[in-house]
Amino acid sequence: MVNVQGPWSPILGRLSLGAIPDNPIIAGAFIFSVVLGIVVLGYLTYADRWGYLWREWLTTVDHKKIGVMYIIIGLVMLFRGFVDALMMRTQQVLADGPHSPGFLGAAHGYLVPYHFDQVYSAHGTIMILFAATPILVGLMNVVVPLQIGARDMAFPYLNALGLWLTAVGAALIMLSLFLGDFSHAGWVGLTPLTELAYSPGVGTDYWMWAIQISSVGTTLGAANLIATIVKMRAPGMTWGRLPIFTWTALSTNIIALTSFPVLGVALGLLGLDRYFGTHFFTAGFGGNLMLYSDLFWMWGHPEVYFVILPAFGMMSEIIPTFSEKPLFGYVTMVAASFAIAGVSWSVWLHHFFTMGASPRVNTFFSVATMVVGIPTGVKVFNWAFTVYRGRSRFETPMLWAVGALFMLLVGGLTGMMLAMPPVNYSVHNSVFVVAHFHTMLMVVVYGILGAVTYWFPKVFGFRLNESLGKRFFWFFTAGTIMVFIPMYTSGFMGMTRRLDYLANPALLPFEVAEELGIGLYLVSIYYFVRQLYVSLRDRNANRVSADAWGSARTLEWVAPSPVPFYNFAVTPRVHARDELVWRREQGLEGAVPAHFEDIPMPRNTAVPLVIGALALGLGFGLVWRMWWLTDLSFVAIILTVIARSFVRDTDYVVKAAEVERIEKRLRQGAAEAARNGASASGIDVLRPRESSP
Amino acid sequence: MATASGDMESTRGGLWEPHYHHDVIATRTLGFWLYMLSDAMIFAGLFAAYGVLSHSYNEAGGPSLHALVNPWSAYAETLAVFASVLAYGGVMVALKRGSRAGVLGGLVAAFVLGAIFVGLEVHELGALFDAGIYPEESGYLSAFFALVMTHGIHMAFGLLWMAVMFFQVATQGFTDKTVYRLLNLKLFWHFQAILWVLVYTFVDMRGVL
Amino acid sequence: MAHDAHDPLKHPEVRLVNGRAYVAAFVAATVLMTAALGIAMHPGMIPHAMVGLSAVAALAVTIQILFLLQLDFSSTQIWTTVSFLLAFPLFVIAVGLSLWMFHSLDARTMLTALMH
Repeated sequence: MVNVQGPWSPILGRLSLGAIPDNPIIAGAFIFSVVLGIVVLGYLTYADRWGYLWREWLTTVDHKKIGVMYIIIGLVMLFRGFVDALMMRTQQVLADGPHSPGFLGAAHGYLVPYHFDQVYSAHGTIMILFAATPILVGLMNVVVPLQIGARDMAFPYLNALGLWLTAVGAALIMLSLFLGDFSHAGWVGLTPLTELAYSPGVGTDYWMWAIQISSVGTTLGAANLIATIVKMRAPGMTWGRLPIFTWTALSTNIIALTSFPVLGVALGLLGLDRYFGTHFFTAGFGGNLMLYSDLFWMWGHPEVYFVILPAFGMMSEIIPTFSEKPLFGYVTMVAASFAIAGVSWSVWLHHFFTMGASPRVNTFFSVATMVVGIPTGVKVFNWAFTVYRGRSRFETPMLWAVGALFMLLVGGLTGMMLAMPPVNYSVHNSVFVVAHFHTMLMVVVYGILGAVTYWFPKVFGFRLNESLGKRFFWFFTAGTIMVFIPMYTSGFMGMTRRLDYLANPALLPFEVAEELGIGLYLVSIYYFVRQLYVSLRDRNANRVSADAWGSARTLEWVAPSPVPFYNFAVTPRVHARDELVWRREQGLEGAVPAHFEDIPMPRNTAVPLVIGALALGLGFGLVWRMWWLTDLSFVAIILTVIARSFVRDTDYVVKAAEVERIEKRLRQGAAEAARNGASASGIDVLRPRESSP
Repeated sequence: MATASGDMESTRGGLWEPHYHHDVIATRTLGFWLYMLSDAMIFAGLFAAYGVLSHSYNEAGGPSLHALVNPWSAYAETLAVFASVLAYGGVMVALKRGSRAGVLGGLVAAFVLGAIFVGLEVHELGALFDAGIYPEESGYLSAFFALVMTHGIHMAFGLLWMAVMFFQVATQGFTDKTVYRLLNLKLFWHFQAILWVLVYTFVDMRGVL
Repeated sequence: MAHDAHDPLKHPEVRLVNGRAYVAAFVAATVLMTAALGIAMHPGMIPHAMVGLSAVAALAVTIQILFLLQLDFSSTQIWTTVSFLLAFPLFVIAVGLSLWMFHSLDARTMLTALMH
């Protein structure tokens, strides 16, 4: 164990009052969080919702609720990441040229370099790992079991565990705002900057353990989803009939399952360096700092495809629905997904072409990178041909899906440029690269926002407001264009990334344009929040039947909206790739089971939440080097896992009569929705959980 | 419309599949097997790190691989692992026969042999520490200890798991849960043996060369 | 999901167990690892000792996968085998490509001349 500089006590470790930052921005964020926290806790107490929260959400193993919680965590973190972006843009627009003013103790702009470095590190870490990843995992959680006709995931308990481990990671990052600091070494954690000698504070430890703990959750979730897709399909759901989103979920989780452990190794070895004084990535003593880049990107590149493949799947569900045509080229779409997943494992060196590997090595990785363009191109043409001669309806999900297509075009073509080592050498570490990968991640964001709008009525039973959704889309798109086209341009002009001060005043116009773009994003967020509020307020007017869009195609739309906790009263038999279309053509789209049966369901459990709380203790103890807390949490986690294995009574049975009652109520609700009548309060149907154990 | 589905049930095998159940044991073992493949990638990362850091300048003037390995101790560990796996094979055969005593006996044998492996490794690493050879000394030694000790920690967790299984089989007999756990432990234990072959060959025997 | 009525011991994955395969795997793997020890202690025995060691290891791993984990294409084991076949190349790629890129990197960026 290495000694760290500064005071340390056996009880509090490195924690002391000095760990609370005295910065007005952080103080503002703190007051905002405290007020928000008091409002939320006060409401829960006032409305007497604690029991409801505990029974229905915190201890749930229902894949839909777990998915919704993943998405909520992701959206909250997405907002936090956006605030970081806002801060960075504002700093860069203020700190332009030697005569730019300084505020709050900064020579230029309003952020001192060390704080600015933390902001961009937090932005990247949050957006990739705590916004995109949880929202995608959440959507896969909600949709995949429904699409394959299963009652839940293969391992509902493990599913909840994955959620709480992700929440712990997010909680650690939020804690770092108010207690200590965050990593200043970029979201990738550049070695040897992350080594103890150069980052003696707790920032790097926060970053490292937040990612490490949440990625354990993601790995477990990946094994769960693959097992679900392989083993839990309804009868008749052959591989040839599997909906495309489920196919992409499968390919993406193969990536997650195999690549996240490598990230664990990269961060674990860094942890050994920081805590035990080993020399994996040190400069000197036989360490090799490029080894870290190697291991990190061995995960990092597959991770890129981990986030983009589900977005492709979402587009592949939305576009046929709103074109009222089957997806063009189903088989090539599946093949392309797996080709992308496979090739993703031999391109990672293109993140560090400038490392100095031999031309032969660079050429191999360059060609492999370009090869990715082939299956991606196949996908783009498939979507285009799906729209071609379809009856296109540009409702909000379709707008997002088509928007994603344009983002993919721009991001893909600039990616081809970057795949060439000579180009890469000249724009390496410029904001051109930043603009490229943001455009690619915009494909993911557009896919996510489309998918959330698309599947929202399936879970909650009512549609989101259409006109506000469209305003959200257009302002968001205008913001994207205003931010990233100037960024591409200034990147080509030689602006490097991660600058807290721009020496060249010629870049100012671009920075101003980007700041305006951020303003447009801000407006779009207003419309998003307003959309959620208005839709919730007017929910009774927007109730939908099983097929929320009137032209949906796949199996999940056969189940009632909102989906009851057991999904399908009787397991459906699948006859076609687009099961709902098949039933519609047979005149059976409204068919319901004639007889009901007892349904065995997994029981709620607080154990995943307990393990999550202990993991938070473990992470916090490791960050602050409170060894008693670390040891205690670690031993308690193992004992909890063992104790849980002795619980034999993990399932209960929902009686057939109960199922019939719920189904009847749902159908009444749907009939009333059809007459545009009022309230069979939809979300209540999600409620009766353990009524008859 | 309910009648429509009734008609369909008689003609086409129906729109619904009543009393449909999934194979719990097969789902569990597949899920755990996927986890093992994921675990293998941890070793892929460690082997990659070991390979990259085994150049002469990664030794930073410290001892090289040749000074670290003791071929006979490594060989004895190999025998212990293989024998423990064989004993676990006895557990599986007894499970097939439904013999609880056989399963318990096999678990004890596999545990003891696995403990011998862990003991030998602890002894071997202890000897290195006694000789003043620590992971902090060089990048190469860091990688060596990380790889060997990760495998050792996996083995130790396997022993803990065996102890829990011994207790559960003794008190609960053969239920779905205990049976799939025994099958999962089989996957885990055999996987560690396979990884040991790689460690033994590419670390220990390469060092002897 | 609740399978209380059936007997878990009748499950095909339990029936799959084969005592003779265990003994065969034990004997074969032990012989191969003894051979590896022999090659390592007397490297002059065969021309390319490291290649020989790798071949012995590959053989031992293959035997263990076939006899201990019993990977095959039967309906019981098909998904175990398929997932293994999908994941195994990644193991090789992760180690192999890393070694390849660093192998040439060391010669190009380290002061190798000073080290020898």
